[in-house]
Amino acid sequence: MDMYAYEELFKSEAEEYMQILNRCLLNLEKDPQNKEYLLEAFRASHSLKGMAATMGYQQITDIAHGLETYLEALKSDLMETSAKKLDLAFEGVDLLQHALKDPQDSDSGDVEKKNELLSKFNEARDRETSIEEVKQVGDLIGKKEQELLVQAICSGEKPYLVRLVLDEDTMMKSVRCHQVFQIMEECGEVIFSIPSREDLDEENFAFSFQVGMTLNSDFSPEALGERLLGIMDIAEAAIVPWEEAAFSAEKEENRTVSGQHTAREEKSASDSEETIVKVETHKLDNLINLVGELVVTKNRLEEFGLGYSEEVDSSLGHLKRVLADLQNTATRLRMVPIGQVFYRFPRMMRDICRERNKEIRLQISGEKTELDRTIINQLADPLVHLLRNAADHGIETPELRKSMGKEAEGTVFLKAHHEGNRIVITVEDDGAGIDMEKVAKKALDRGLISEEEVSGIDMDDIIPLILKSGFSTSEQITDISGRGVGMDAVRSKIEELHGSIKLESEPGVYTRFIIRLPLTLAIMKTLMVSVVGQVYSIPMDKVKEIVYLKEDELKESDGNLLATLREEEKSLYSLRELLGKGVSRNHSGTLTVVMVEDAGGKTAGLIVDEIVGHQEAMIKPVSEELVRQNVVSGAIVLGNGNVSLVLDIAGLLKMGEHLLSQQQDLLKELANIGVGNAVTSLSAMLKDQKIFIQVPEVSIMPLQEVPESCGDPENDVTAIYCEAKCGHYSILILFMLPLNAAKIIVERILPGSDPDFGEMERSLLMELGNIMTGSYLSALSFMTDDTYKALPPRLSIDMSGAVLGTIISESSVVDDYMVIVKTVLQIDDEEIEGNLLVLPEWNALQAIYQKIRCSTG
Amino acid sequence: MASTGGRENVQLVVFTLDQEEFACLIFRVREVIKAVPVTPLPHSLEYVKGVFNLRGEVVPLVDLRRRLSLSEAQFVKDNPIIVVEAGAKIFGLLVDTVKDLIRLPEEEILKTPEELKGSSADLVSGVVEEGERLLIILNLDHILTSNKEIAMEEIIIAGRQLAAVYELSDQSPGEVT
Repeated sequence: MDMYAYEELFKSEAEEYMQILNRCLLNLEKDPQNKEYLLEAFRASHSLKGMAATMGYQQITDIAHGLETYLEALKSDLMETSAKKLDLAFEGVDLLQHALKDPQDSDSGDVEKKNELLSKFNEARDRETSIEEVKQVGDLIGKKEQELLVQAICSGEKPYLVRLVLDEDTMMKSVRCHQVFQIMEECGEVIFSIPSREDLDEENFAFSFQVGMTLNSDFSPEALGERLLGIMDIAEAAIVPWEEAAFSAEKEENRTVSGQHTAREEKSASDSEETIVKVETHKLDNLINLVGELVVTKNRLEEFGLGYSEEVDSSLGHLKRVLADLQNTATRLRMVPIGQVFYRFPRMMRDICRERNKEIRLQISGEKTELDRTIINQLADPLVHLLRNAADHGIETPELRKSMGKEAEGTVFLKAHHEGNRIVITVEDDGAGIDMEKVAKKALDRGLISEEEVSGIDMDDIIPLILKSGFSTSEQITDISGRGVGMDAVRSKIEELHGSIKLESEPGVYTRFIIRLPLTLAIMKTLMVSVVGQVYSIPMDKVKEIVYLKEDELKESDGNLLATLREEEKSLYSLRELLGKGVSRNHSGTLTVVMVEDAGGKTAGLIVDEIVGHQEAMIKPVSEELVRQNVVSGAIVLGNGNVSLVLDIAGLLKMGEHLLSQQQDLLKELANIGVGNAVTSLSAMLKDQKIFIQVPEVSIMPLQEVPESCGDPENDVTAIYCEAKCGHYSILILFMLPLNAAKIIVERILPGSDPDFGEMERSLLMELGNIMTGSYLSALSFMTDDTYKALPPRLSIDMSGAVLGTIISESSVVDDYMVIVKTVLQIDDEEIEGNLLVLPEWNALQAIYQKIRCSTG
Repeated sequence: MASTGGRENVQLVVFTLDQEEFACLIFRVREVIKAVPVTPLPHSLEYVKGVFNLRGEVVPLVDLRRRLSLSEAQFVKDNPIIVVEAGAKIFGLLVDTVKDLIRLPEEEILKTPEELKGSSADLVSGVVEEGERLLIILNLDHILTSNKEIAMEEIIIAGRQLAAVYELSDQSPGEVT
């Protein structure tokens, strides 16, 4: 049959037992007297062994068996369960955990480790068994002797019981006893004797006595026996290992009792299992999917059927309620207590404490808080990061803490609770807090902030810095934390889970991370907006507010659109632009802006066409492989059966931030190469003249501002322009020279030419324009590895405003902003300012950008 | 076309692209549907028309013409969409027409021999020769998951090469070297 499915089932159950084991051992460490924990751990390893044996996983079976017997031995321990003993148990648990990764692998490199551990278990168990015997002969020897014996066993010695019988006619019993003890002390260490030494000395005994002792390693029991028998009057000297000396009858009885005990425990365990059914997650997902489908169908039914008749209405109403219940129940099915992920942390904390010589108490609360299991599975990594950070950077060393008047033991709190439809997880430590100066300094070193920003920095500014990548203030990088990638990973994971993370701290007092997450990702509240006729969904948890802005409330700087909201300047991005649906820089009338916030707390506005409404819907996955840039995190099936894409806010904001700067860089690069090409061509044309072209200045601006930036719109200019096509895209290139500059150039090349431009002069200017536009196009072709087909160029001499107006209205390019490359030509000593204008279609710009980015990696 | 040795019959869905016939194995095909409302996917690859709702599942729609470097399909109501499974995912394939469904014994499919894999032959998972007609069975796993550009001509050439290999070895698939 499908062993794989069973293996998954086995793994998930085994994981639960591992959690129990870890939890019990940790509790035991704190409370060694509590045999309940030991018993529970014992049962867990017993069950695990049984399961593994059924599946035929030899490795796991062996280790679990070793652990089980060891724990059983510990159960009967008289002494406190010492840390050292628990370490061995922990070692066993670790080995089990390792083996569980690949249960079928029975002969991987760990066999040696396993055998070593198993023999340690056996050794330890033997000791423990001996101790058990001590207890069983408790009547025979006194409490004090028992303890002495146990101590000897615990320190790894092997005790013997020596039974000596004197001849009945022994005259000087005390002397013989003295001789016996003398030999014994030479061979080992006497632990006790029955009767006591005093009684023996005073001859208060008949003819036999017993001695409990250990032997030095260089003496065998036989050797001791021989020497003892060498003493006069000693009739018998029986030396037996302690275990064998114990009474077997009592032992039997005890075993039976413990056997019954186990059986009873198992029964109660199976009783409780009847109320829990294990279901594979994909079956659950399927169920939830189908429920979602039902809801969509119900919505359609409502659309058509509502108001048809009273009966239909009331049936629909009933259907609606039942479905809501069903949906709720189905969603709850996927909910599991967060304790599933919390349970592993005490163990981790313990290991860190040992490693780093710190004293930390991990205080967990709210572990029963439920949330979707898909979220739980992804929470482990971020929480590990935060807890490690707390332990490593947060909590100070015990010495430092004491010197600061704090308790030597630091506390890390891990809390969870529900807050409306969200779960709030808090990781807090009472350690050093965040050193603002250190963070600011580091941020300055890394170039994340400027010198001016350092002064006057406050906690609100610091927090985003810490969440940035490549940031770690730890002076030494440890293997626990401090690689500087952690916090960024935490932030992006939380973001992915549609949550938010906040940081609060007071230097020297505490650091607190607060994570808020939705209870489930399957169903989400979204705001529906429309952009170019399409309905998109924005996760409601990202929406801060919706604002309507008038034109005069906007400000443009460096191509960035800004709006001031409650005295704070926020960037606005056109959703149309971010989604590659063309450009709209024409901000007349009222703009509908959705203010959104990413998980790191960064806010920006998205300009949408209109707000459509909001809804609560199932989020479906969308394949990520088919997109170049991911701005979609899922999809929703609307009531009418259409698909609405759920926008990935973090992705969009990041894109918005980079879009302009990236494009400007790209266009500058293009201009530089293009101008380089132009110089070469022009030099060939102007043979004897020296020609220079200054490094071009590139800017992007709205179309209506272009004429102004090219000087007075009423100035006469010479313009050569052409449209170039590449695939589906077109791009308009225009070379514009002030008329008098054109005249100078013509005069230089064709001395004595017609100042009103005849046929000859016109064709010369055309050629010049051709060179300029052609150079740019060949640079473009070179960088994108695409062919651009240029349509025949045209020449126009008119006022610049008129020229631009005509060209723009004639071309097929519709987007309303332009790239201007200002160049200054220097021919001999004459400086001539010329403008190369590039009007790319938005899609062309995107395609160009993509191409270049791909080819340059 | 008689079945030999009691081998099982397989079915092929035959469709056209630019007058060329191609096929895919029916077990890869979930269903054939008529055009549906499509939601464009921002910043997607050129040949991805968008996503559509297939009974609650959100499925990407691939314009197979553009995938194979042909001009874009006229997205008209009659264009059929073949819903296929490829690389453990579901895709909708926009094609020109779905011609027929043919049934034939499995051994009549001249499968791409292992030795040919890795070359352009991984565009084609097999061919079927029916008299004059050569049906090329597309290797959808590769075509839909690879990010290389693929031209329809490459596929036709790979299909003919494959057919030639079998002809040379007297149509005996076992002896292909």
